[in-house]
Formats: sequence, C-alpha cells, structure tokens
Amino acid sequence: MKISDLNDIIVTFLRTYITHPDPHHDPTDNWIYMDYPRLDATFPRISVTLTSGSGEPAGIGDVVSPTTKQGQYHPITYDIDIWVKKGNVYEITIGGVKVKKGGSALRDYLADQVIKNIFYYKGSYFRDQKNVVDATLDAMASAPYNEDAELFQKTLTFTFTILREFSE
Amino acid sequence: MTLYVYKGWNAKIYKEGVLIGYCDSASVDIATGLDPYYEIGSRTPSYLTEGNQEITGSISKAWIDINYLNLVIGTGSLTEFDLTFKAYTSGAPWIYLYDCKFESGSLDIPQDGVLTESYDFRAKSVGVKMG
Repeated sequence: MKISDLNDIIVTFLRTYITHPDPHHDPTDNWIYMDYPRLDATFPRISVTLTSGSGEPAGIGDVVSPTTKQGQYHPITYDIDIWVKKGNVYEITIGGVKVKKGGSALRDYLADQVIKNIFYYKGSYFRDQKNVVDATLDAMASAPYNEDAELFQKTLTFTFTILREFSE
Repeated sequence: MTLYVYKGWNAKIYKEGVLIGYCDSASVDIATGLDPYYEIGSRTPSYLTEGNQEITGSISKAWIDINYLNLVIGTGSLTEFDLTFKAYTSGAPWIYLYDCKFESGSLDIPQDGVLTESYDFRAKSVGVKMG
C-alpha cells in the first residue's frame, strides 16, 4: 500500500462515517479534506494532514507473507484537525434528544465522533477492508480560540500503520 | 566499497526450501559436548574429549496461520523438516540444519504489540558453506 492510498482511505472513511452537524447539509458537498484549510474555506471542516512517518522491518530479509513478497511496516502519523467557526451552531440529536452545539462544544463533539468511529471500525474497515494494520490515538490537543479567524480548533494525532510492499 | 557485515534485511530463512515470512528473530546453537579431563596436580585439563553434538535453535515470527503450531500439537511422531539460514543472496555464509523437529512452541499475545509465535528446534545434523 502506498502513502497516497492511505491518505485516500482516511479521508474516504471520515467522509463516509462522520455526519455533518448541519442536518440540512448537502451530503454531496464535501467538508473533509487533506491538508489544512484556507481561512476563506467553509466551516465546520475536518482536515487530515500527514505529519511524520517511519519504516520498520516486517521480518528477517524483509520477507512478508506471501513469502515471495518483501515489505516494511510504515507507522504514519496524521493530524486530524477539527475546525469550527464562531457562528457554527447546529441542533444535533444525541440519544433522541436535540441539543444545540456550537463553538468549542461542537468542536469537541465532532472530535469525539472521529475518535469513536476510527476505533469502532479499526477492525472491520481499516484492517479487513483496507489492509491498515493498526490505528492508534497518540494525542489530542485544543488550540486557543483564534480571535482573528474566529476559529475553534482541536488536533487529534493518530498513527496508522500500513504494510508497504517493495513493488509498490 | 565492500560491506563486511550483514544485517537482518540481508538474511533469508527457509523451511523445506520455502522462505519464512514475518520472521522477527532466529538463532542457532551448536554444542560440541566437550568433556575436560583433569589430572591430579594440574589445574588445566590434560585432554578435551569430544562429546555429543547438540544442534538447537529458535525461530520467532508473527502469528498469522497454524502451519507451525500443527508441527507441535500432535501426540504422535513429530514431523521432520530442514532449515536453511542464509546471510545474503550470494557470496555469503549459509548454514543447513537437517532433520529438525520442534521441541517446544509458544505464543505471545501482547496487548499493544504484534502477536508472535516462537519455537525451539533441534536438528540431527548441520552443514555450512560459503555461496
């Protein structure tokens, strides 16, 4: 698997499983993208940014199964940022109850959705369907409110491990 | 420039001529069973007598199938196999281990790591070559 494949897998997953908080949002209108958003982008938004990675031998002789193939594990770290603009306030139904969320509360709600879904689908989606060996949450951090851009931001740092075969 | 050492990614391990995948470590031990003979009045041995040769080793690999476990779970005669350890594709040392049997196997299931299986084996005879 190539790194560009993993980028696509993560973005496609989030687009599929994270619901936009606006119940009137057009589902064909994407709000989750690779790389940090421009300040004039529409919000709320989720961005996926590859920040670092490394390579680890998958076995002696880099031999993996099937035994004729060679490869290495790549643990690749991504920042998944949740961006909410001042004024993004939506009525969200949680457990049958409608709750108004905006600002940092909406940001934290969306962050929880990302964490919950990545962990819930770690086996069935990432490993079984997409051959992503592991997904771990390394850190989470909230940025101070950006007065100029009127943005609330939270960064979730995940490491996704893939097996990259040498022929790729 | 000539490289004088080999690293793990250079090595290859074969079981019955088939490469072993996802192997994370392996070792071979050869004991010559030397028996020293000490005479009265001497603190050093007068003779070193060769004893039984013992060839043992171990293999550890990711637990992805039951092929290896099947070689230790039987209650009848254990299956014999040959192992080959090779330092590089050519011009490097090889070691052949003939008529091996696994004498023990174990699984390691860590909470946050790769699931591995490891085996201790014993061989009847050994051969080496540069090739």
